[in-house]
Parts: sequence; C-alpha cells; structure tokens
Amino acid sequence: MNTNRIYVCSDNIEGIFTAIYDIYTHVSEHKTTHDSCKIITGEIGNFELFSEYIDVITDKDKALKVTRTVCERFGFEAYESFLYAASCDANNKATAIYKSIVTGFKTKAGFRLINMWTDANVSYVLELSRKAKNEFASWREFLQFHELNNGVLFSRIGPTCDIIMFLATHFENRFPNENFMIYDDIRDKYLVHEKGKKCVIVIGNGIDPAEETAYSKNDSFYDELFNVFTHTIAIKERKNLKLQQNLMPLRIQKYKIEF
Amino acid sequence: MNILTEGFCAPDTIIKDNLSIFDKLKILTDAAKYDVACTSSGVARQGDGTGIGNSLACGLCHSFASDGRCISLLKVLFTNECIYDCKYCVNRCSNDVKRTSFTPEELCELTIEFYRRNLIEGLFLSSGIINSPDYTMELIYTAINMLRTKYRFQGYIHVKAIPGTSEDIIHKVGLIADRMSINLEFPTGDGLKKLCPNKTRSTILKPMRLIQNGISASKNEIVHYKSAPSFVPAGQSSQMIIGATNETDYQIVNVAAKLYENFNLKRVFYSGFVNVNNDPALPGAVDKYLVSDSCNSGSINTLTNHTPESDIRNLTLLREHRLYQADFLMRFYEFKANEILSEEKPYFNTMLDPKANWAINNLDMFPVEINTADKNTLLRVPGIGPRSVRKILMARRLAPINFDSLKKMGVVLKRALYFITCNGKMMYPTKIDEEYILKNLLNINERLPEGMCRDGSIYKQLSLFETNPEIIPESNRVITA
Repeated sequence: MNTNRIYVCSDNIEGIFTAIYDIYTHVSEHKTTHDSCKIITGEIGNFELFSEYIDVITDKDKALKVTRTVCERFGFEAYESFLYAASCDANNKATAIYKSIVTGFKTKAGFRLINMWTDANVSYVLELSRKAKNEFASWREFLQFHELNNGVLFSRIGPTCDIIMFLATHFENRFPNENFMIYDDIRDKYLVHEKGKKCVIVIGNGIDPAEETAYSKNDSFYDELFNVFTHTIAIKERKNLKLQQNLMPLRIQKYKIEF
Repeated sequence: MNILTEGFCAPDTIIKDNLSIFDKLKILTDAAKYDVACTSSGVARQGDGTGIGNSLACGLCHSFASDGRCISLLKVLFTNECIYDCKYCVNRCSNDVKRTSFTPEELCELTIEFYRRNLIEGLFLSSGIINSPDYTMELIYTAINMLRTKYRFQGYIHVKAIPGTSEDIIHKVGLIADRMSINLEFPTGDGLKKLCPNKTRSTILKPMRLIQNGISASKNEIVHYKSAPSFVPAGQSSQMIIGATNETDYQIVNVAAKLYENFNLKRVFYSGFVNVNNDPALPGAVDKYLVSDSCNSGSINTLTNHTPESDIRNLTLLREHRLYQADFLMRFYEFKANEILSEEKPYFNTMLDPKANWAINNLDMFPVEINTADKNTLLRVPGIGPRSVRKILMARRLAPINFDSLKKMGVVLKRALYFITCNGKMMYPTKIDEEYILKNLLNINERLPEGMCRDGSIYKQLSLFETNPEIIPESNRVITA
C-alpha cells in the first residue's frame, strides 16, 4: 500500500523550496508520482494515518536551485507570487506552491503559469499572494516613524502576514540618509537600516522593544502638529466615520497616533 | 478686525499676530480643506541617495480623515490672504477670518519632518492671492524651490496654479512640481461670472493650456534627450464645484469629457458644494435640487425649500459619487459621455450606478460569453473591471473559465451574473428582463443617502408643530420595479 509522504519544513520560502527539492529527488529516485506528497510548514497539528513524516532541514543551496528553476521556467512574477504566498499565515500554502510548480511542469505552461486561474492550486497561491501584497501595501503607507532620543526612527507594526522584508526596498530608497528600524510586534522581528547601507533583518531575541521607545521631545511636538492637521483637514459636514474605518481598519488604527 | 473696505482690501493692512506654528497650520489647513485633489499618483521616481524621498506611480495614502477622505499630501495654503471675492470661498476678502501665512522655511521644515515620519507623501500647495497672481506664484516658487534644492526633497509636490499667472512662472514652477492643477471652479462660464467676479474663463483656461503644452513639449524632449528635465510629470488636474449652480449632470459630464479630450487632463475632481458663507448669490444650495428617478420613467422628483439641509447634503454627496463613477467609466472603461447620459435624460439614476444603468438600457447586447467576448465588451459588464478583464483574457488562453474561477479573479458575481455566460451557461436560470434584473440589482446593498427608500421616493418625518408641512404629492413620487 502506498503511504502518503508528508514533508515538514520551516515556515519560510527557503524551507518550502528545500522541501520541494527533496520531493523531486525522491520522486525521480523511486519513480513514483507527486500525488502522495504534501508539505506542511511549522508544527505538525494532527497526525494523519498511513503517512510518513519527513523532517526537512533547510538547505540554502537546494533552495537557491529551486529559486533559479522557478525564475527561469515560470518567470520572476511567479517567483514573486510564491514569495508573497509563503509569507501568509495559511496551513496549506506550502502544498499549494508545490502543486503549482508540478502543474507548471506538467502543462508546460511556462511564464503563463501565473495566469492559470482555472487551476485550484495556482489560484489559491494567487489569492494568498494578493492578500500578502495588500497587507504589505497597507503597512507601507500606514506605518509611522517616531524619533528616538538618539535620532533613530522607530516604527511598530502588526501585520497579519510576515511582510517585513518587503518593506526594505521601499524605505531604503525613500530614506537613504536616515537610521531607522521597523519592529514587527507579532513575530518579534526587526528591520534595521543604517544610513547609506542596505537593510538587515534581526530576529528580536533578547531585544526589549520597551527600551527602544524613549521618544525624543521633538517627536511629540510633530505628533501633535500632525494631529492638528488630520483633525482640521476633515470637512465636518461630510463626516463619515464608517467610511474612515472601512479604509483604515481598527487593527491598523491602534498603531497610529492620530486615532 | 474688519478688512472689508468698499470691496477692496490691501493685504498690507491686515494686522498679523505672532501666531505659533500650531495656529498657522490650523488656519491654513482649515482654509485648504475644500480642495479635493489629494492624490500622489502618476509619477515613479527613485530617490538619488543624496536627500530624502521617492515617488510611486500608484500613489500612497498615509491616513484617512474623519470624513473618509484620504490624507496623502500635506494640504495647506501658503497664505489665506486674498484679494479676490469668490462668493463660495471661505477665504474671500469680504470674509472676516483670521489671516496668516507660512514662511518658506516653516513650510519646508514641516514637510520634511512629517515626511520622514512617513505621515505624508509630499506637499500640496495652494494659496490665496496676494497683490497679483504672478506675485503669489513667485512666492510659491520660492518655497518649493527651497524644498527641492536646500532640503533635497524628492517626494511628491502638487502646486495649484493661480488663474491669470504668466507663462514664465508657470514654466519655472512646472519644472520642479510633479503635478499642477488649476481649478475650473464651475462647469459653465455663467456660473463663474456670477460667483467669481475676479476670475474669467480665459484666465483659467490659458494657464491650463500652457501647462498642457509644457507637458507635451517636455515629453518630446525626453524622447531625444533622456536627461531633459520633465515638466509636470504627473500631469495636470482640475476640479469643479457641484451643486452650487444649476447645471445638469449631463452638462458636467460633458465638460469633464471635453477637458480630458482637449486639455489631456489626468483627472477631473468634483467637489460637492458645502455652503460655508451662506451667500444669497448661491442659489443651488438652498433652492432646488433635481433628482432623477430610476431608469424606466421620465418623471422628476423635486425637492423643495422645505427639504431639510441634511437631505440636500446627502444628495449632493450621492451626486458627486455618481459623477466619479461616470468619470471612471470615461477614463478606464472606454465609455463616451453621451452613452452615460443624454439630452433627454440629463440626470443620473439615483438608485443605480451609471454602468449598471447603461447595461439595463442596452440589454440587447447581453448576455456576454466570457470565454469569447472581446476586451471592450467585457469591460461593459457590470461587476467586471479592467483588472478582472486582464485576468480573464490571460486565463482563457490556457483553459475555459467557469464561474468559480471568475469569483476567484475578483469578478463581482452578484452584479455580473445577469449579464454573462460561461461556456454557454448562465450561473443561475435568470431572465434577461429589465424589470427582473433591476429588482435584483437593487437588492444589493449599496449605501444610499439616509431617508431615501429603495423604491426611489424620499420620505420625510412629519413634525407635529410644523405650520405648513410640505409633503411630496403622490403623483410626483417615483415607483419602480
């Protein structure tokens, strides 16, 4: 009897791509099909019957090979969608990414893979990637910096997907001469930028964010000024709090000074 | 302090207090809030690493005010002193309001400090008119030039051009601003003459033409010399006040279409009129506002002087909303103005958006087969937008599309299902029947103004103590579906 093979990998794109590499190695060695393979990320929830669980050790080289293949065969757009989908907090994202790649090879879709809305796995990946992109886009515009005593700009965010790395290029380009850091409240991750350099991601073990939040005096002055601005710019005759909340959900409002 | 002296006031006579930056920001924001445009889109520019800022083609909104409008740019006036006396404007010289102005340094400081906190996307600078249009534009130029050179600001700058500004100043400002706009104020010349005694159609259209020519000349130059400075790269926009004068919706849509066609505008904005001055010369505000009924009958529902002001305000907002819908149809859906409205039906349908309205009036063109229809036909289906159309066109080359995948693509099926087939089948057995579709489309909950029923009539609370309650006569009430 054929047992299912369930690959358990770490919850990031490298982990997922390593698992995909391992599956392809297994399939070609044992001349089996892709039907019985699955990937799950993070922790195993309920164990399934008749399944073999394989732990995947994230390997940078294997992941890079898969990345290259994906970019060459399905285009950068497809790779980007996989990347965004992998940052989502969804159970079966890894399997969907893996099955999309399988579909891509089987149908010889090439660069058109990313338009295959008719395929369940591809459309699920696209759905997830749209969700993550929207989340990224909203934090890109809604996050606010505060100046710390030492002049560093500090921002606290709480996104539903792990999108902190996508913020790097935008803010690097926007504030090349500023020292800034963005702190992901939920995942305890920092994006740190030093003046004139590239951004780095620091997993926040041991760093106490409370220590960082000694805001400068200058900062509360501009906060107050901005508060004056946002409240004055509204036309009272057109007041529409429901619309405001639709456009700026409460979960984001709590990170902003003007609410 | 009364600054009105026989219809003329010299700005020098105004007593200035030593206002704090808080007060200045408050006064000058308050004076600028009726300007509609707050977009930061249209130009993609990477920072060069020497200063601060970049710009994205899609534009970013950094917050939303309590009226639901986005806060993208620091929208302020340079000064609210003004020698003009436009009837609708809060800053007109005959109004007794506190006057102040920024210094260029204050303005730059404010912009940079807000910008580096990611609170704004750039600066929107408009101004009241001191001395003369040229003099004022020169002041604006000094401020934004300082921002661009001294502070190396590479974010978005939107500058309002003042009617009657001369060519060389427009040119100078255009080279450092991203977007320029000049307000058309009113859709027709008559309205302008009546309500803006100091502005004429030609002083508005001339700078508009100058900007247009500048943009096209600059685009040609860039073809030849890549490093040529770009002139107003994000294009120009304009805005009209809606509801202060008695134009029909058809007239307004036509004016907008002409502006897009003849002046290559990027956007036209519509500003629902808010009566801040209670000037007797503003008839549209308190007099009559006509609301068209649903599409099948031609009768008109008239609101009278007794209609509460809140109802008028809600209707003005709805009208503004419909105008924006029509505007998007013209810009992204290849609709012509005369397809949206006509001489015979010059007002929008209050119940239905213009696209659904068009579809219901042209049922002979439906249903459309998703897997074979061309791009323009797909664009005309209610519930399908340009983005979905792009996805449909790509996806159907690989495999036939069904309703499930349509839903995933983001097509709004509750609107579209009456007008489309997938592989020859409709989603549910529906009738291609005007009444039937209308009834079902109206069941979709679009937010209508308070006090408005789905059947098109407007109810009014009766007051026990009102001496002469005006009730809309039965014959005028609109009954649909």
